Amino acid sequence: MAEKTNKPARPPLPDFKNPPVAEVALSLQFDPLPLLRTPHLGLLWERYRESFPKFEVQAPLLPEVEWFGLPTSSGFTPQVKFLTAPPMPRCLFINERGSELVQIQQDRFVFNWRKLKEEDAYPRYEPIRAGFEKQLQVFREFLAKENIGDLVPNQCEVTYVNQLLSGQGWEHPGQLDKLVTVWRNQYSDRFLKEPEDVRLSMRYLIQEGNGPSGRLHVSIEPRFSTIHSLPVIIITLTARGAPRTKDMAGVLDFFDIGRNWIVSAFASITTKDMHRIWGRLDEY
Amino acid sequence: MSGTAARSPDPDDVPDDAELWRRIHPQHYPQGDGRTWPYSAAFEDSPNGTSMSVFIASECGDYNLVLAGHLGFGLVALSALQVRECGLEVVRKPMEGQPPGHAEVVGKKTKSISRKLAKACRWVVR
Amino acid sequence: MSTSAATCVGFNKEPVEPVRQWQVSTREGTVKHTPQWLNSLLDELTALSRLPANWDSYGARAIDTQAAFMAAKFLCDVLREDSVLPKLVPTVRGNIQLEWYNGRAELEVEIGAQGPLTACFIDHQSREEWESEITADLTAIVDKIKACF
Repeated sequence: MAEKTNKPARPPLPDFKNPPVAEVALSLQFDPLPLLRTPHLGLLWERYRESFPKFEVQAPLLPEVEWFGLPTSSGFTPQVKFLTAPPMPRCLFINERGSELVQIQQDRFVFNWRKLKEEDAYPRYEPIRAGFEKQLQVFREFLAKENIGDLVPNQCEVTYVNQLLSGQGWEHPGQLDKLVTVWRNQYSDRFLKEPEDVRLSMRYLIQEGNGPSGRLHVSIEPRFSTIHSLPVIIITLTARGAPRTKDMAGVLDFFDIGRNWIVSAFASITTKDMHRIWGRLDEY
Repeated sequence: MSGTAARSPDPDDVPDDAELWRRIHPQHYPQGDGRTWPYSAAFEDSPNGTSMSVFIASECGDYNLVLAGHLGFGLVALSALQVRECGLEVVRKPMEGQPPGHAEVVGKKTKSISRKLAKACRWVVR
Repeated sequence: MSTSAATCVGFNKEPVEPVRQWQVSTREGTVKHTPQWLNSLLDELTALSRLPANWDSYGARAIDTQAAFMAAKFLCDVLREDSVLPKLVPTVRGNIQLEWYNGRAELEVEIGAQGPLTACFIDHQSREEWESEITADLTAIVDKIKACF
């Protein structure tokens, strides 16, 4: 992969003083590296250990690919179950606080930031992007030293998870129309009143130039926060697609595009009342 | 290289009318969709880069030598001319431990070319 | 039994990659009934999982698990309930080639670990013929499947 990268200037995007961001993940999926085996993860941890002293081992994530031109899905999602030896696992290297993670498997590299306490401020996209670049470089240097191969990116993914606590603009999960613009809670007669809760799932094509270059997935669902003992609405936005060029510049370019779409879409689907609560800073 | 160009005689050349045998795995047999020829995937180079392996029938002599140790496999035949008409070439490649007459079909095998080879062949053993 | 590595069975032989047997099933989404092709698809993919390295006697790779997953994902997204399942053909690269044939037209789509890689179509009546590498846009393939098969 080429080394050229550029730090982006913040484009004119919706901006909030206190956005309800609880987690951000930047994920790079690449062509599988068959020479990357489980023992290598131990060697790799030596390079991350000082900054990421904790670890977890989990099952690998299934590959995700955005295709276009398909009819609506049948609703069946395939999954693979191993009858004998499983494949290489996914290793999570975690910093001391637990607020940053590096996840590595044979075909994926992910860098996460997550909010642990209410007082934790969202650090903004730029430092998270820089964190991804820095930790990916450690991984690439390891791959080169061990002659495992280089990364050939095939999909990039940006995910923002927003956590909206009850008591801040809404009380019950059925009051989704107070939070989002895409649900109106309107009926053709008076038979039904406010629902108990609402789940929404939407997909939008990301169009940047000729034809779609990715897809934006939006999901809205109710949960209950055991930490706050309150209902909470989770709004997750994921932008996924193939990088325009199969190098670092292409990957970071997609991340920037994905982030722009996510931030703009989040402002678009949430109400102005909620924007006031979050302290919207830009003019709109 | 044109498959129909006049060829100057060369003792190492495989003549156009030479019959070439290729072993076929049962997974590449047609499966009840009306086709009688093997799937095109049976006519590709090996993943390690070695060109597609065949045996020159007249030099091998007995197809059981080609099928020995490969229970359930079938055998198809193509002529060297049919191979050349696809823009490919037949190159002798004797190999230790292999029956006599081993050769390779050299040249880029697009899906279209693999399909032409599949349709051109005839079953010897199925 | 000796614990010496030198007397262990197979010590002096070439190490063999163990065959990772796997099975493809599905998580049902909002669809309540099973399309007629689904069980055949899962059975055939699972059968392909049993092919070991060098299954074709010419050095073919064992079928890539991710290629099988992508083939299942692709077909779950493309096929209608009344569709006919294409033939699933293993390739030497460890990929899966989907083949549609109806006497008039033929379509081959090779699926690898990243999804569809190449496609090849021929219509013997209209003489339309093309072969191309596939990117994210599957419109051409989907259109042919709908129109011809």
